[in-house]
Amino acid sequence: MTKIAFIIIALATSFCFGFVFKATITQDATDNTTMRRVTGIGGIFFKCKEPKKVREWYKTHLGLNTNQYGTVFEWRQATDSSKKGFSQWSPFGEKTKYFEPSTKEFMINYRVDNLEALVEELKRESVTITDTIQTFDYGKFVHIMDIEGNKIELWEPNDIVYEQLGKQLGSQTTK
Amino acid sequence: MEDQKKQTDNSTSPVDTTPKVTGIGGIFFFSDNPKETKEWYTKHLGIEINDWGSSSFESRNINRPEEINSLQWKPCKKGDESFSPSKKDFMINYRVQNIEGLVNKLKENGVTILDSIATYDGIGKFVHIMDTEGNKIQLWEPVDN
Repeated sequence: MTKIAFIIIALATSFCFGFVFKATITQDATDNTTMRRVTGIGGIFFKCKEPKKVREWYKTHLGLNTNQYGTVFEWRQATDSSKKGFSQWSPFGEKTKYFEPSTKEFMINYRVDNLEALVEELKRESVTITDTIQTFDYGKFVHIMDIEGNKIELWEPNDIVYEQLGKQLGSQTTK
Repeated sequence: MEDQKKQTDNSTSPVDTTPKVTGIGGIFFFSDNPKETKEWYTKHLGIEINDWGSSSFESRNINRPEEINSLQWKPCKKGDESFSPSKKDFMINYRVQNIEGLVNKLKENGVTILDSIATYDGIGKFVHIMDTEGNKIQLWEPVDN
């Protein structure tokens, strides 16, 4: 009799544990509010009358190591100091079409973990996506619009390739 | 012997005090409705807003991996005085080292400096300058943990 009661309790307990465990897993897999979206700033771009002069000004006065594209700020990832991270800084010409349809003077690039999953989620949330995912060796890109007409660049970086490309260009980072 | 080694290590890695920018410390931009904008970024892009109404992106220092650095991101009410005299809709904060040395160098170079260095306990030192195209720049020498 005692033995049967013990088995019933054991079964009930394991069932409950199993249920809690399953619920936890299911929540992780399906609750998209817990999905890691933006992880950092991947770049800041802004319009200028004379981008070349602006690049030179920042080099002369503030010590930015600029090349024809601007500069790359180099840092380490907060969650893993063995991994580097990069943020691109670039002055653009006033007439650039790169920020369109935004009419703002700046555009921000945000680093993300999993661009495909994020784009699917943003589509479900009816966020305006202005193009399709473009894949390069140094990462995947897509552009979206925020609630106030700012165009946003989302970047799932490949930091190792990105660093190699900079070295191939003979460019130094700013750090 | 051990002491000697430590001394040698220290002498081979002196603290770099070159007055210059070392990173991005913040991005601020105009918004018609900052509250709504922040909520949009939290909901769709997972950008959490802190008690100061901004978001703090963390990274580690490239030269000192144990040091956590932060970058402040904030949509500000359109027309916010802190952007003045710039007429742009964004402002960038740059992390610097040796802010006193940098300000002296900028003065010598004839760069427009808008205020004098202000020090805030536990945060760091700030000064504001103008770039060659009328962008106001915030320079920040942080106190990092």
